[in-house]
Amino acid sequence: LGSSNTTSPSAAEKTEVLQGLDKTTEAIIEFLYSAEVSMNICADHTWPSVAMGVEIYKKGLFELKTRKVKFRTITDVTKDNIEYCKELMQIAELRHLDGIKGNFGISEKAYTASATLQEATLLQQVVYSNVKAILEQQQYVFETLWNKAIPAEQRLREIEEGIEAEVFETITNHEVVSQILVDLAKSVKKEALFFLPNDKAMVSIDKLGIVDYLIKASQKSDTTIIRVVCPLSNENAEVTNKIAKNAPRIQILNGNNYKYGIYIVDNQKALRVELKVPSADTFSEAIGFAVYSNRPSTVSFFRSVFGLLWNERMLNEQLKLHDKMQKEFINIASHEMKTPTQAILGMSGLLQYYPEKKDELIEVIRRNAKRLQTLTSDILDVTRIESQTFQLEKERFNIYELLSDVIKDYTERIKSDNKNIELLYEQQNINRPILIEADKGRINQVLSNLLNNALKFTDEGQITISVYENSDNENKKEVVVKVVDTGSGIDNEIYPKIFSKFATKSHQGTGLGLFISKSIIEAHGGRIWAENNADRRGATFIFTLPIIEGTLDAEHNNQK
Amino acid sequence: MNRHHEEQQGQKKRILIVDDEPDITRLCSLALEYHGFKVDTFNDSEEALSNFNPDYYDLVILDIKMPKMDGFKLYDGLKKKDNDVKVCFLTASELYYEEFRKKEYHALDKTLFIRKPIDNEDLLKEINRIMTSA
Repeated sequence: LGSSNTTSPSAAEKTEVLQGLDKTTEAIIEFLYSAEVSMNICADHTWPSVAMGVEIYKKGLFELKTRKVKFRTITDVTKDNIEYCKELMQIAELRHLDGIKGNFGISEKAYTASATLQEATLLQQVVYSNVKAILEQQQYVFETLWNKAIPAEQRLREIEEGIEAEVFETITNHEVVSQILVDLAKSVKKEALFFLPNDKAMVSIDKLGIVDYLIKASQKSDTTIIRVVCPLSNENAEVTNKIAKNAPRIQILNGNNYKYGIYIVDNQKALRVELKVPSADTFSEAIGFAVYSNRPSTVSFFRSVFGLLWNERMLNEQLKLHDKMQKEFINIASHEMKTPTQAILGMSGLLQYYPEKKDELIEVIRRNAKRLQTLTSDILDVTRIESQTFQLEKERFNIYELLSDVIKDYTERIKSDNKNIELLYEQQNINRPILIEADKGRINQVLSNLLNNALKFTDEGQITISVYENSDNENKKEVVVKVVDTGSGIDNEIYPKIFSKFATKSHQGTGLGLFISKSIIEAHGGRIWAENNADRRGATFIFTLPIIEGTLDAEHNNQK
Repeated sequence: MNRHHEEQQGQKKRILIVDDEPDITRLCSLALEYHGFKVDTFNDSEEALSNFNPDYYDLVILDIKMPKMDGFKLYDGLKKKDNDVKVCFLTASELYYEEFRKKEYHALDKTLFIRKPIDNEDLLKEINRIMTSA
């Protein structure tokens, strides 16, 4: 409040009680016309009529706007003062506070207060002060109330839409309760929170058309939140399927059986209904007495109860999912381990019976021992990835060198396997290395994995590896490595989960390779994805890695 | 029942093995042939079903977790073609089998399930036990 240049601070400071119309009017007029920066007035429901109904005050207040004084005011907006409030809103920012009492105003220069106001009448008694400490204190009081108040526009709308008066009622007539619930469901605009007591309740509210109203509300706006907690069973599967099909944004969580249901709409209305006859087929036969309220405190209480129940159910779902995934992993991993173990165990036992088949049997044993070894190291990798103890030993190297080593390896392997496959290599025509900072062994693992997959699914044709420089979305340089094959392509069923664990239709792999590859590439700040080739022959796997600017330092380049 | 009476003494018992792992079918046929069984194998469950000879086998051994058609579905298919055929399961999947037993296959005798890994002698014992059981 920086206006101390006009008056010397301590000498002029005073607080006085003024009586009589002359003095009070003079003080108020002086108060209004001296304000240059701000005017904050908080007063009861009669104040808008005083402000706009007494000509001399009205003029003073309108002049605030002309002088560009920031004018804020709090009052109790009611049906009776609504027209005055609208007038006030032309010159002030108006907020509503339920049942506010006490009348005071503060400008940057002075404070005035009046204990009593009378409809459209001059003030009889006024406290006036320009003591700085009082101004500061009252300013603080005003700000506190201001923050509690709601914009008058909102309140005006509620009044004009004829929002019902606050009620808290106990209802014993079951038909009335049903009707209230139907009306609640019909009125959903932003949010519906339904806590159903048992599985039948879902069916019985559907019979009342309530589920359809919820579906409509969800379809109307994608910001509408609709949450339902309900025990799920065969009994209500048809209804939940209908919801899932028509309004997938409606969230449903499986709940336990309770003795009551809670229904909260738009954070404005809440209904709590006792369940008396759980086995009854219709809603009104099943229920006991009900409590309905639109009181903010009651609604907010029910809403927080719902919130707690919702979170508890949510946690429960997550736990179940985690548990299921864990079980599935153990199940598949153990299956994958038992199969080669069976082969090793059995074939080694047969060696004594079939000495003449020794070579064949040993080959089977060797193959299965290798399979077991790969599986074990893959499972170890997965465990490290999932426990976030996966560590990279990064070094700076030229990816061209790694690629040419890998290609040499695989060219020989294809030759010795007698497969009718050609391994092709396409390299961008640039005469400098592409440097990356990466774990060489791990990148090698990814390349081997992609090439093994390509070989596994390609009986004849080509496997092409290409490598080139590219700029990503943020204009950072990256190297792109593509492995294109002419094999059977990626199965449609597998495609969406190809990088997840055990997503395989092949029986020669662990189903963990691509999951591990994805984790390796992402740990390097790269991306990996797969697509089926446009000509319907084979698949393409692509990964990127960030390129490092600069040169190989001597330390890492001592092989050459 | 009838066909067992018709068998001549000394005639080889016939076993059908269906498992998607070629190493496992190879292992089982070598192990059982050594002990005097006549063994047929399939690595594809659908092929096994369409080529199935009713009233021919003394025992059918099925893997459970197989692509295309799992062991339980194959069991149903085989039983339709030959209601009297004796079928057992040789499986590496614990949970899978537990869960199926809980549902529609709860009537299956628990002793009809042989768990992998099992060594050859125990496998032989199990098979003899199942073949001689009622």
